[in-house]
Amino acid sequence: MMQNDDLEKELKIRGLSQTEAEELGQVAKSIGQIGRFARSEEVKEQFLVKLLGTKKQELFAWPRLFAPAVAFVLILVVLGAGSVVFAQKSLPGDFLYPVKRLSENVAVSLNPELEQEIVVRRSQEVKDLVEQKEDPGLVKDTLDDFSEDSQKAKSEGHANGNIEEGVRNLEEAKERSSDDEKKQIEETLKKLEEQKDNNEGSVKGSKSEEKKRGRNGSSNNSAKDNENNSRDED
Amino acid sequence: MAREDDFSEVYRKYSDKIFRYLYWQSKNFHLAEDLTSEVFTRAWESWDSLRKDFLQAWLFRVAHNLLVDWYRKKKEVSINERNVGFYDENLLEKLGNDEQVDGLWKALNSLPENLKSVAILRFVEELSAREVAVILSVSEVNVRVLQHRALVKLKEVMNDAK
Repeated sequence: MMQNDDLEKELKIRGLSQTEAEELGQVAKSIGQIGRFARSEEVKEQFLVKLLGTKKQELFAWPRLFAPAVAFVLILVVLGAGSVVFAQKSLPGDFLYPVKRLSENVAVSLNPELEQEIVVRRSQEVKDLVEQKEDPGLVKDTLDDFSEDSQKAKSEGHANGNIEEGVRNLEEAKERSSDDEKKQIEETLKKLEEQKDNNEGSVKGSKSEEKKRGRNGSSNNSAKDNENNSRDED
Repeated sequence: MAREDDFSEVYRKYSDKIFRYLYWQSKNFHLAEDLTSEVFTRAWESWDSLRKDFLQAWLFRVAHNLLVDWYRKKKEVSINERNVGFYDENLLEKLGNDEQVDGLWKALNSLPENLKSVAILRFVEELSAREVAVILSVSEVNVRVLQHRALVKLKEVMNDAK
């Protein structure tokens, strides 16, 4: 910005006296005062709207701002859903296997009857691992999971024909397995048999208890009846 | 949006200066507004390649060249029609009824073109001698000589008017 003093200095350099420089400085000042005016903000805004479409952009500013975030969330959802679908075919030791287990837990929490399906899945995994000659450690871990899941299914009363299907899978796996694996599978099947016996024993025990309770109940009733009868006689 | 925001800020800051330069050069209110719109439309079209530290001088230079072309080509400069049509009618009326404005116009119009340009840029818009030199494609020394001559002449005309 040009200052009046600067102008006067410049004029004096050109040989003008102080008074002459001041007079010309005054002329410059009055020109500036008259000459400076401004157009209305409205006119400026109208031009900007027409050139840039400012108002239109303001209207859609928020969706535009959030567009990357929405896209990111959508990608996550698609990838997430995709990974869950792909994970269903994974085996223990695979990258997506934890996703498969997590999705199973969610499914069982929503519908407990799916527990028996999980048991079959574990047995199928054992079979696949044996066929693919995977690490025996993985086979053992999966067998442990199978035992745990089948026990859980039985205790919650969801084990029907599916446990038998699981046993069949393990039997088939045994035929193709190494000696170590065969031993592990046999142990698992033995445990399963023991659980079955225990459950049947407990079922029998509970039935006989019920019978006993029934008898006691009827004797109590007959005692009451006797009491009532004697009152009537009185 | 940053690009649009930057441009809008520049337009709000400099468009009155450009408009005034064009108005004092032509005393044609509507032409000044049309050419101002044209200057900023061109600025927006080449926004990415514009040197932002040299912006004010660039805008005045384009305005000056447009005006020169306007007179040289007998008022047939192509102005982007889509940006024509917004005028501050209140200001137009106010300027039309202001005697001081009329007096200044007469004084400025009495100067030769080069002195008139220097007077508007230096005394109305208060640009530096260096910026004026760039806009008018002359040396800084030349600008100082011209501003001196312009002031002497303006003083005479204004005194005569009194």
